Amino acid sequence: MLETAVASLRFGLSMVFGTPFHRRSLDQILVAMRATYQELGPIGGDGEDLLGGPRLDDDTRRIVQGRRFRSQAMRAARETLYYADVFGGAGIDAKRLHYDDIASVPITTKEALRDDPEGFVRSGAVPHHRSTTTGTTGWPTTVWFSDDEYHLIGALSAIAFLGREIITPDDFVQIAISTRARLGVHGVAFSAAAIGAALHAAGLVGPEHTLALLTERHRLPRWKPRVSVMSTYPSYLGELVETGRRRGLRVGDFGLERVLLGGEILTAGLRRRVQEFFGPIELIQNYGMTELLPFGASVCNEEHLHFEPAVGIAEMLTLNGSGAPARPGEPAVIVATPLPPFRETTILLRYNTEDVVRTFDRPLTCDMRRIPASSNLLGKLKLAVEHDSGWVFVRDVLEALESVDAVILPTRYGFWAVPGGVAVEVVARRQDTATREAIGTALQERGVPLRQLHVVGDRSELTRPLPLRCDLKEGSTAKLHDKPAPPTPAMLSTANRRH
Amino acid sequence: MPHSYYVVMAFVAATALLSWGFYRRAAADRPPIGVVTLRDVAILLIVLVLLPYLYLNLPVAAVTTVLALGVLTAMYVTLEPALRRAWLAWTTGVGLVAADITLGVSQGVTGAPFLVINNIIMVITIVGATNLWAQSGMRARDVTVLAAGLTVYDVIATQWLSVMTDVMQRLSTAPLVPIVAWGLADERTALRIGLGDLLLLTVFPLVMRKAFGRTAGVVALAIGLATPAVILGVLAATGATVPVPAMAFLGPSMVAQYLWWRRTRTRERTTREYLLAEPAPQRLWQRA
Repeated sequence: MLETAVASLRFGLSMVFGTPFHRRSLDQILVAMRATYQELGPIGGDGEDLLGGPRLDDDTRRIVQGRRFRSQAMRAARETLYYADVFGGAGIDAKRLHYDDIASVPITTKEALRDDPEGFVRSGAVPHHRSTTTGTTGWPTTVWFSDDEYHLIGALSAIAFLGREIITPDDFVQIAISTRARLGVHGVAFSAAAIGAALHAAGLVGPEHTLALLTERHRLPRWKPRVSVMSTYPSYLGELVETGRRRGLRVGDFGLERVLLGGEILTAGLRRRVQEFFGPIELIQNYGMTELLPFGASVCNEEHLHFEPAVGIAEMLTLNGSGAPARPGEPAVIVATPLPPFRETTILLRYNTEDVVRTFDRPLTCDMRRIPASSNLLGKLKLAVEHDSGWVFVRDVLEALESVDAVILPTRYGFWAVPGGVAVEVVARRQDTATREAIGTALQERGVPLRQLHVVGDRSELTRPLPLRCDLKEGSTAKLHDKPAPPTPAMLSTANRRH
Repeated sequence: MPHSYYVVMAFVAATALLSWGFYRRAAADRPPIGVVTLRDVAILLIVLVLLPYLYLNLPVAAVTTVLALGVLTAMYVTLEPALRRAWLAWTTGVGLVAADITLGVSQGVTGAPFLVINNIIMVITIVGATNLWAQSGMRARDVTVLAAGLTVYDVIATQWLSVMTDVMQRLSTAPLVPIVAWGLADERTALRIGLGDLLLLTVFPLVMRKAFGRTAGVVALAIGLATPAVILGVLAATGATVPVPAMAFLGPSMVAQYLWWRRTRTRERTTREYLLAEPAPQRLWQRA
């Protein structure tokens, strides 16, 4: 306990002064969290809050964030090629920046980072890990991290997962995301090891293969007999539901309790259909992107995105590219700055995520209302469609389509602007009038100004399909018919005795 | 038997029983992360060995300040869930400490008014400290190791070195004296028991209950109360004034109990397992 107190103090000092985190202190906090969980049970929010720092009022938060932004800007101007040019060209003195001056720093575009990732690396940093985005909307973007940053990202993930009981020591965790998503895999794998859970980094293989792994029974004495936690993408989860139904699998065939979802939008329709197939499992969303990690957002009980102010600054700007803050209730693009000491190698100031959310025009009532927030993700700006009376975002279309059971999962669809509204195309089980009416009604109920609807029976018939992460699959030579027989009751009872 | 025997034993019993009740009915304000480990016990032992020398070499005002801070912190652990308001808990604690210092400085530390306040402070402090340890997951094994270590130290420091006698003499001139005592005005009837002995005999039943069940806890409580009752009874009956290392009796009994229950029950329960097996009264367990 004394060592933990010292480690927590060192962590707190890094937070206050912006100095790099002490690696052994992070490890000590993790060890203490695990010991606390095993001895006393669930840690609850207090443990996580300890690391998030105290909740600040708006004025204090601005002062603290302004100071952190200034220190990051000074390092960027002094130690990175990209920002040396930006600050020099714009005639901005980073040393004089305050919170209200943040808007004077030019926005960093995705293209700038994608085209010259090394231009953002600090000269004094020790870049070890090259992480790339999956590139679903273009050429993958590279972000360099030091080994300490990788360790920090893993440790913070583990603290969040154990604090919220998303991964516990008796869980069996399966990672079903692309193994190229290095940071996503690392966060879950590091956490499972730190927490003491069993781990299988299975990757994004064919749905039949994953279903075979999920239904497998294990006889390891300390862990749950079947996969209890899975990390994956919403579209892949939809693919599992569809394939599983086709193969006649049912709720009792699985031991799944929680699914960690990221990278795509989770709709109410998909949630319902997943829970009908897998049972009342918990679907846990988060918002994070390789470029910004460990800065990201947690999703509250009312499905808002909450951005931890100690880790970074999230600005909500209008969609017209003017750089003005969005008004309350308006859609907005997230422009984010990861702050020190959470980001030490690749410095990004005011990075345009191109992710669209909506700002709030009324006070929040959710369980995280004291943390700055926006609505849940509406989609990528480049995939949104502007029409005569407003915008249609990916979420608007996807929520409507996935609410209709006739739409095959994963939802393969496209939409684009046509005079007076939008055209939508989607793959469905049937192409009859009833199906078309159901889809059309659902879209209109979501406020989509539907002008054309193309319901097709096969994905090859789509003309402008949106990219899905479930298509990042890796090859597999596994012969599923050679899967070993499940253990007999006698074998299972032996395992129980060992337990 | 002098009435100081009954007074001291009443405070000793109150300490152990209140702590026992607190453990079941209230939640100490412990750090959210971290459990008490064997390494903490080792650090505690080192501190306890070095502390007397610090007390002997620091000015009385500095010693009183250190004691006041420690006592206030431990008292807050007890008073906060009991009074349900942080400000009331701090006010009560500061009030008691202020009264203790005022009485100690103005009337000396042997008078009845001072001893009443000081004994009450010690009771509240010990209830808080022992519950903080026990509710932070301290294991019976670790308390046993601490008891064994303190037994050796107590015997050496009391019998072969003059350090404990010197410390007691020095502290008995200052407020917040770390003993439960009565009848100090007359050395023939004076009886006292040290804070360290009381801490151990109070925390041991808590961790034994958690680790091995209610019976183990009750046995530890009974032996823990009987030991000072006998030692103080002999001292009171004979009128002896020699210092007795109470840990020389408490420590071996704790080691024996731990070994017995460890052999019978194979392994210790965690706090989680204990609360599942013996759910605490939920309404009172929650802090305000």
